[in-house]
Amino acid sequence: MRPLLLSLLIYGLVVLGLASVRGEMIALALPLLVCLGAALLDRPDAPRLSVSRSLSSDRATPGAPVVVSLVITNTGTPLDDLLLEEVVPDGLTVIDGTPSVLTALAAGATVELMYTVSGGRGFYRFDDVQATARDRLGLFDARVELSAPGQVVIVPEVIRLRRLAIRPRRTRVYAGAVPARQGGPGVEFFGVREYQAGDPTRWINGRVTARHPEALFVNEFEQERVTDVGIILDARVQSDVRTAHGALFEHAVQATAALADALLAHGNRVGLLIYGSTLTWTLPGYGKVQRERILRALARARQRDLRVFGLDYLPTRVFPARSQLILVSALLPYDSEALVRLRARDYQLLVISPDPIAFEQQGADEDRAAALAARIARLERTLLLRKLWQAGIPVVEWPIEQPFQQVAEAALSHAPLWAMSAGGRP
Amino acid sequence: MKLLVSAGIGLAALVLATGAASNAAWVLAAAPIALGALWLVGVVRGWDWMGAFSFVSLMSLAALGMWLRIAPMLMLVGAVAALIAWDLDGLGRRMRSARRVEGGATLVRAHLQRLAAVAGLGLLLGGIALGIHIRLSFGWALVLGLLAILGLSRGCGSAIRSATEHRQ
Repeated sequence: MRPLLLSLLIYGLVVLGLASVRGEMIALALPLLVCLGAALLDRPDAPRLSVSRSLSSDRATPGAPVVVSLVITNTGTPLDDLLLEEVVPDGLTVIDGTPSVLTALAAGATVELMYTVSGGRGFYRFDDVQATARDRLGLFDARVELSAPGQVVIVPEVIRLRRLAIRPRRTRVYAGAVPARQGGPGVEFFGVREYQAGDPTRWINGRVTARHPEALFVNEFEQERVTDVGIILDARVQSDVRTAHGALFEHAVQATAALADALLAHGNRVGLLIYGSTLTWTLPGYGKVQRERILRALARARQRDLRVFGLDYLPTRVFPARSQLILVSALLPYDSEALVRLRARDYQLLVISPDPIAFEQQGADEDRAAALAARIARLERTLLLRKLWQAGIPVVEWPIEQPFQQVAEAALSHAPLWAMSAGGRP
Repeated sequence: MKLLVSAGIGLAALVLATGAASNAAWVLAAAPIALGALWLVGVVRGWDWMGAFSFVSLMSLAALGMWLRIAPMLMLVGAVAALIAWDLDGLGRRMRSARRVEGGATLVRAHLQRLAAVAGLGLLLGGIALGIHIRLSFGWALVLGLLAILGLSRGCGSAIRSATEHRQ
């Protein structure tokens, strides 16, 4: 732009001088011509630079600082005016330092670009660093993109849940914390059976034995085992609500992370399905590695445009039949049919539903029309939840203003879910 | 840097205004002052487009002064001062956009040295050109004009092209 402007001015003056046969005009063009000529003679070649990037951490939590450091070395000729710029990925905020520097770099010299970023949940990829060398008058430039890949994943914050009392129909063979609906060694009383050789004498039930003098009876306890849990996160755009306080989806992600963490901590096998326009699977697994896999998948979770639930063909490899499914969704009016079909296929289904109506009402103007609209929406939602309860699908409704930990522990830590699955309200 | 730019703008406006005022061309004297003031406001407010606009306007005023044969030497000095101000304005903008400047003093010093050399040479050549009077026939003027335009076209074109090609 600047050389073009200068060229046009020179052109104009020279043409004017020649057309009017006035030497003064050409004399006026001479300083500009000298400037353009000097810049042309001094114009830089494409800079030859090597760059290395380092990040203080490739994994962070929301709001935690991550220091990005770039070391750039000039492997070519001296550069009198070099601008180095990095485009910071959308969603990250620079909280310290700057991602650009203007400097002169001698041959073999090094400059360090260091800045600190923080951001919300997400997967962020750093790409190229842009280097622009200019002549000393700043008229001509040569620009190169220096490849310096890097990435940082900001995983959702994990809320610790002490206990989740789920009662799936099928458990695995390993000992865990989930009641297995089978008698054996355990803590909770399960029933009474006839004494068998080898049973500890302290299990003998005195009252029952007294009523039946012909035999000894012992207490039986409910076995506790690990189970398969599939968590489904609803990532449909339609089920999200966005307000000045943020997106409801972010709360759903946080709840999913908390559930996965608690279930894995109790030794269960947990898989994740993020349900948007595409299905993003995290195959079931155990332990800390699986926890990290799930958190990384949640960090990448993005909403997609899809209207209906089409979960009729869940692969049993991912979610074994009769296993526990936990759906984290704000729920849409037409979701009930798909959920009832899932229940009919013998999955033990639990729905954690962040309340979209209460969320939208937060901080909204309380005029009469809005209040009426909220009331109608609340009635529709109540009907939807009732339909699910009647189908044996327990729903934990989560008003966002309450901490998830509080809601989850009140609803899931002691409540007998088998009773809820029979149609009772939690 | 803002001080240097302001000084350049002030010098350009004052020299052009003095030249015009010395020939009692009051309207022409007021115009560079107004443009200079506007440019200064642009520098303070960070209006990036104002630099190019004011530079072209001041150059046009200098050309008008030359056309009207109003103090040609002062017009030339004013034009060179406008060029300096425009150049420094560009440097200031680049430094601001970078947010961090390493070795800023060295960078500015090298730039000023080059600019001083360019401005001095331009002023010298312009001054010599103003002093030389060569009578050319129409045919020679036409041939030289065509050669100048062709040369400039090729020179500027290749420079702009090579600058674009370097953007890899």
